Amino acid sequence: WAVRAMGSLGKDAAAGERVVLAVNGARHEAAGVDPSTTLLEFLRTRTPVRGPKLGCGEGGCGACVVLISKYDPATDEVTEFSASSCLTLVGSLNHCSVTTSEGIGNTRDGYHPVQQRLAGFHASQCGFCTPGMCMSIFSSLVKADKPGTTTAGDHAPPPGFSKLTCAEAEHAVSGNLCRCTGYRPILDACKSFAADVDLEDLGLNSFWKKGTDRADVGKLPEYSSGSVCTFPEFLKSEIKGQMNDVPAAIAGEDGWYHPRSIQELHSLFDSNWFDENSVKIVASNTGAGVYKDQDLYDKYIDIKGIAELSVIDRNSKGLEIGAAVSISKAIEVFSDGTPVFRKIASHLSKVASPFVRNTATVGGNVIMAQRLQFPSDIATVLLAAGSTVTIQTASKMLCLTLDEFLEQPPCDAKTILLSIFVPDWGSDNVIFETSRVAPRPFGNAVSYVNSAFLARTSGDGASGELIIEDICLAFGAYGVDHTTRARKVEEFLKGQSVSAPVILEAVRLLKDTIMPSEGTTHPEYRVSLAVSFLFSFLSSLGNNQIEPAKAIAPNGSCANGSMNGQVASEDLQIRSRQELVFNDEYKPVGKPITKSGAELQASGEAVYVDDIPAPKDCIYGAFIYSTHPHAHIKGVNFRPSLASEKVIGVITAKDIPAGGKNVGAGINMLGTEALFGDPVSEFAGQNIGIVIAETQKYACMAAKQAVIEYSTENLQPPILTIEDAIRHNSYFQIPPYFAPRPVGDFEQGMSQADHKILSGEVKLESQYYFYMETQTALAIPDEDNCITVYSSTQLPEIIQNVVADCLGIPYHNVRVITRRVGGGFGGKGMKSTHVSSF
Amino acid sequence: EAMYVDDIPAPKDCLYGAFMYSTHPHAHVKSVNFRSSLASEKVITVISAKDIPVGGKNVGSGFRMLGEEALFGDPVSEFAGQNIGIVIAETQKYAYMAAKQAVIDYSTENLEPPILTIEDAIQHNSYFQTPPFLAPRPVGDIDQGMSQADHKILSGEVKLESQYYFYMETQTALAIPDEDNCITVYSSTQLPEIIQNVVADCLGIPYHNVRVITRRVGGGFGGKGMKSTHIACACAVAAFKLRRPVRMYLDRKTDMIMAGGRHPMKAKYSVGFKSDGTLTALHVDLGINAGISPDLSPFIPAATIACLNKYNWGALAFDIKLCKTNVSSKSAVRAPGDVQGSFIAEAIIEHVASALGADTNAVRRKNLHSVESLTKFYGDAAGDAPTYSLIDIFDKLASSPEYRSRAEAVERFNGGSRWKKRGISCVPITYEVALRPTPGKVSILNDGSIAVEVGGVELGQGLYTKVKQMTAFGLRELCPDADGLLDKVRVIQADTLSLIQGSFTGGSTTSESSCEAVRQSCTVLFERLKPIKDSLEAKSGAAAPWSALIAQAKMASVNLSAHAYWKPDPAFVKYINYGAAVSEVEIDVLTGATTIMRSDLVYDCGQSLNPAVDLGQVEGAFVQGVGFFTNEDYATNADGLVVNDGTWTYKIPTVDTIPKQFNVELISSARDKKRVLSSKASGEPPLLLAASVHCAMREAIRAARTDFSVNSPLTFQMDVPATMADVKELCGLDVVERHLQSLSSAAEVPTPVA
Repeated sequence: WAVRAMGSLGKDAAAGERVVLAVNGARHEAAGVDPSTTLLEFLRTRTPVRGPKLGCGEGGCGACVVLISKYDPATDEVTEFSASSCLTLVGSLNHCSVTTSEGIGNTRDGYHPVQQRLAGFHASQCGFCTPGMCMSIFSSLVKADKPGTTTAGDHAPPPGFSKLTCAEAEHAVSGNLCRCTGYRPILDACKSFAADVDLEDLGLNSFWKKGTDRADVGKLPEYSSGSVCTFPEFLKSEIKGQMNDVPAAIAGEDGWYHPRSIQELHSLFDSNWFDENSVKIVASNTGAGVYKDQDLYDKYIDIKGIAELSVIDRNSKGLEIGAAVSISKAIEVFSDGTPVFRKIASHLSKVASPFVRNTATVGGNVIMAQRLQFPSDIATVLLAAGSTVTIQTASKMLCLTLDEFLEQPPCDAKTILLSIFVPDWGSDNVIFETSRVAPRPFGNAVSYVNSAFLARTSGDGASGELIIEDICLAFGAYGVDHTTRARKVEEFLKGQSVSAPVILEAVRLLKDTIMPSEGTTHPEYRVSLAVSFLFSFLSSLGNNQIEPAKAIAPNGSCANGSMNGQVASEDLQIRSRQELVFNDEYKPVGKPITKSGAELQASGEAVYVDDIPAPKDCIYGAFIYSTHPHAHIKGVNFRPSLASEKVIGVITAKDIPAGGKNVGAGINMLGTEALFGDPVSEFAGQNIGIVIAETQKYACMAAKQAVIEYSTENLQPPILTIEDAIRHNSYFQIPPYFAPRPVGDFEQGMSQADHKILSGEVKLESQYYFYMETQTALAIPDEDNCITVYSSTQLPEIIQNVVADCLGIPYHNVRVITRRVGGGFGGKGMKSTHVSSF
Repeated sequence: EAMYVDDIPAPKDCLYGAFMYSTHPHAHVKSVNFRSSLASEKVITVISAKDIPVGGKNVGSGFRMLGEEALFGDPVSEFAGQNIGIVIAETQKYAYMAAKQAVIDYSTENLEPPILTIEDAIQHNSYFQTPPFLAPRPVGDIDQGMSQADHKILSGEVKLESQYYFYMETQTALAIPDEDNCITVYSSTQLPEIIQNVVADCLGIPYHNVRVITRRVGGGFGGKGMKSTHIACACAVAAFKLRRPVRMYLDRKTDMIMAGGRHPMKAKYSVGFKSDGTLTALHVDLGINAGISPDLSPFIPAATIACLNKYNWGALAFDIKLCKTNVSSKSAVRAPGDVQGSFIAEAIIEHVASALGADTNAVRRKNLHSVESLTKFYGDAAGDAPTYSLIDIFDKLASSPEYRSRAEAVERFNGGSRWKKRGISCVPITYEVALRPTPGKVSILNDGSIAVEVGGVELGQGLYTKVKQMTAFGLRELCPDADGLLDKVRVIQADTLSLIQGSFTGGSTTSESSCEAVRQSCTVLFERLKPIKDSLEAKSGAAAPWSALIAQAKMASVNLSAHAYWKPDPAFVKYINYGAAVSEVEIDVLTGATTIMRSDLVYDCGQSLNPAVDLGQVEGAFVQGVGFFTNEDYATNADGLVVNDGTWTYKIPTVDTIPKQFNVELISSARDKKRVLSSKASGEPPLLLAASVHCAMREAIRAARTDFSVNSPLTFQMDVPATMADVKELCGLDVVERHLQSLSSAAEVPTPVA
């Protein structure tokens, strides 16, 4: 039945089943797009929108953030949320409205106050992150000012302000990276909307002269909520018009299937085409940010529309949440509950970043933890809270404790996590704490270790004589397959009254349990963190002799608990002061005018290299790089895969024109670096060849399929370290005119010393540029062996020279055009020439 | 592989436009609808005057202070062929086809009837004013001159029709919207700077928001001047509105309907002369049909008179009416006004000669200027006496024994041939050109290759080639391998934001002025590099190779780019070009067909900057002139709408209509350092030499008329173009009957038909 029905449904409903969405109010159909197309790719290649940028492709930088709006025809309500467009698949956005930075304001229609204030607070430098910042701020404003929401209380904000609070403002851009500004001005721009802001606290801006003029909301570009239409009427009508049509449940148009029930899902599993290698099951696809697709998929099954997976059922026993409920929604539900629930909510709000939590599902996170050893915080906190899960396998439905579920072997592709039940522990005699340590306190970083502890105690809390009746100690993320309970410690603690010796013994036992697996970074550090967590928790249960830990760890992380009334350092609001001297002697030189084009950068209209409309017949390249530091490249082959079929060609050293040379970088007479590691790869990471495909994604995916065959025959072992180089006399010469100069007579100086330190040593490691815009170039061949190269570079002249040398053409044949660079920091210097040369 | 505008790969999401034009010369455009058709479904949108941004204006062209022309006929269409709106579609073909489906609803309510002809305009006093600084100057005392005449011809009349440019590449542009209300326009144009200005005015944005890029033009001939701005504005308005690239490449028919072309003229003249053929006075009433907008028309009167002035008229007076009419605006076409003025002079000379029964060439020779009269007619432009080469040229061609023997041969031929007649004629030309300020920039790159930017645009006239040569010349002393230097030069596309004040390419002097700007830039570079060269050579004792010199200069932080804005010496802004041509034609009295048996051109090119290029200009211009004088009939209907709108009906010269023997001699008259390396212009003047064909045809027709006893066999006027039909008509449409009648009347002695 299922297969037959599906086939016919697919055909009958074909016309009506195209993905229809609104982009900045305009109707778009995503017909004929590859089902693996992300919203970002769709926007940037199928619409004029260029504001959302590709910064990381893994939900980690926020440069691609857009606002997605959904409409419920039954309630006539629109819900909006920010999302990473680089992870969101366009197939999942039927009947959604997408708003980008261009959509809230632009040159033609006027800028939005968010954009104007980002410019006015000098909050945009290279500007590559700014459209994403803009949308993160805009989404927080939309969320805060949503009619009927209660955030900072029910009071209407002062005129010209949002209901957003300063504290929320600081979290608004917590998932967005910026490499230029240092964030302070961005926060000021964001806080300028906050109801509780003291405008005088805000930093240097173009709206008032600090110290002279009075800060006044009237001087700021006027904000009024709701001025941007996030869901166009035409789409509402279209949706209402189709309300009574029976939707084709599992259509399969363009390789996209969206079953509405578990039954329909199973019928898809049973169909003859189902193959877990070429079919991807997705809810929001945020998992692709962690576990990158290794090959293309030709079919997707979107389970977000399955009713059973969206339940939120709250009763006296506890809370059941469907696996496809978003983390944000879960936070909302948990926040309105008992202390245990509230702590879960609080911890979940540090998972990923706002725009990921808005679409990422609780179930997806748990499944990643179960199947792929994802270092999940959610699994840890839910485990400690005594959660159970309901799963549906091909044959049966099972209810397991989360603990049991995680212990099972990784479940197969056809096993579906339906829901998670978290018991309501009430508040009597139950102490629940969760902790995490990660490089970023607001989230958007995987924990080194996470933990969640639940203890049932008896006795008199006031006197400190608490007896641990029962305890659950869950630890995760420290280099372990999945969250586990420290059962030996639990056993030991049961019935104990906490004292220093007890804690000490618990710690000893814990150290036997927390054993980071081979290859885990900083294993001892992680163990020590687990110890700190346990100590902090137990010390809070102990008698007064034990000073409760404030547990302020390096990098600003700390336990989740309240800090005895003190404001935890992570909750301190950012304050700032700028002292500058203004001088109008040479005006307008010396005037702190806003950065040229800042609004344009905020609106996303500023054109970076990848925003240049692709010329017709444009093809895309991806580097294949060596992973061997010193080896002959014997051959490059491609794994048979869907992605490999996308290879149009591979460009290698042999494609350098006669008269040209294998050069990818080089400055004046200092020497050149090869464009291709040919015939020998000389370092791991060296370019071996360039895969060419019809789209950037195809090129990137295809490059992953390359298998390079190396041989180290007759080659010296690689020299990798300073020590190696010294041993082998492997040096570059410093031209005399660049050589630094010693000063004075060293021997004499030493002889004058009363004390000497001999052979002190200090080491510094490398640093990555982390420009928001990665290396990029666009080369357009022109008549008469000329070429125009659009490059994001700090040195257009050198690119011109190197490209000409590489191609063996006169320099005047090469035009290099650079309008702006999305972050340089030196990395768009010599390192930008390789991609241009290619 | 050479990239023209339409060869540029279409940017993603590029849309295409096609003009919808009015077919009514003066009417309210009430509405535009589309027939229901497959093609109409392809319409994405229609861009019209309402899509001009706030702050912009409805302007499609305009030169400095002369006045503007609207981009859209809105709300009133003012001539047949005016743009009413632009149909936008996904492909150029869809746009073309969709534009054809447009049905325009007109109303003439409350509107005056259109003014279409010179006569209409004169009747309604519908004129454009010529600004005083552009007005030609009368010479001497006309009354006195007339009083000295032995004979007068009063109210002679001659007419010249329009000519279409027929550039092979029709009007085209590609506009790509850019961030921050910027726009880049790729245009096939002779005046990127003006396009930049007009597009910005049209969109209401600052000029620095508009980049106009022109690499090469697939034929200009003046038509890629003012006439190229409309399409650039049209693309720009559409691209700005739709925020997508928009490209237009006109189909030939639309191009021919909208192009305008050469100014039709009607000259009435009264001329006084002595019995020996010496001219004493000329008065000309000149009507010029300028069309709807001033365009470049205010330049036409002076150009016309300047070329008319090739003869010493004694005294000269004129009344010129620059007529504003409801037809497409006429614009500069290669030798604009000049060719008409030169022809009018010949028509008058022919008239005088026939009135006297004298040899036309003798009358010409007699009235060629002396150095004194040249100065009287041309002022400063006359230049120094040794540079006046026209008399030598004319004598070489027309006063030679060879010419005399050929003339006799023609006479003999005509005596022995009834149905084919030959004519031979020699026509001199003078052609005044003006030098204009022009920028240039020379940049030496790190590998020693050189990139040059100039104000001039490469239209096919070899401007870039000459500039390349001039660059190599300017830097030759820095490079031991001076020949190799030429290969190191690349002249790069015109870009209005890279090199400003590019002005326009036209008037025949842009090549030399661009060269001069480049030479000045090279001089600056020479001065910067010479000391380095000297020090290198002092060290090594050998000539410093170019690459070593540039490497050293780079190390020494020498500015390797020099820009110059060359301005002509205020005392030498104009000079005159000279040439003459002898053409011999054979007409077929039975068909009106003309064969150009031979043309001999002598043209004073000064010290040619590139003889191959200049020869190409001379030959090409001559043949284009032949088309104007003989065959190109840019006909319109009663509403002024072009009806000869394609290759079926509009016939430019082809390989079978050029002279059977085609000889060109470039001579170099006295050197004159005031000119750019003593060179002279070559782009437009030689076009005027084609009048020799027209004059020779007249000689041949004259022979026919004498043979067949047509009324007034010697004195007749032959307008331009003189098509086959005109030739036949002037020979007598009834020649066969006449011949048969003459045979009948002498029936007893039948003569075989020759």
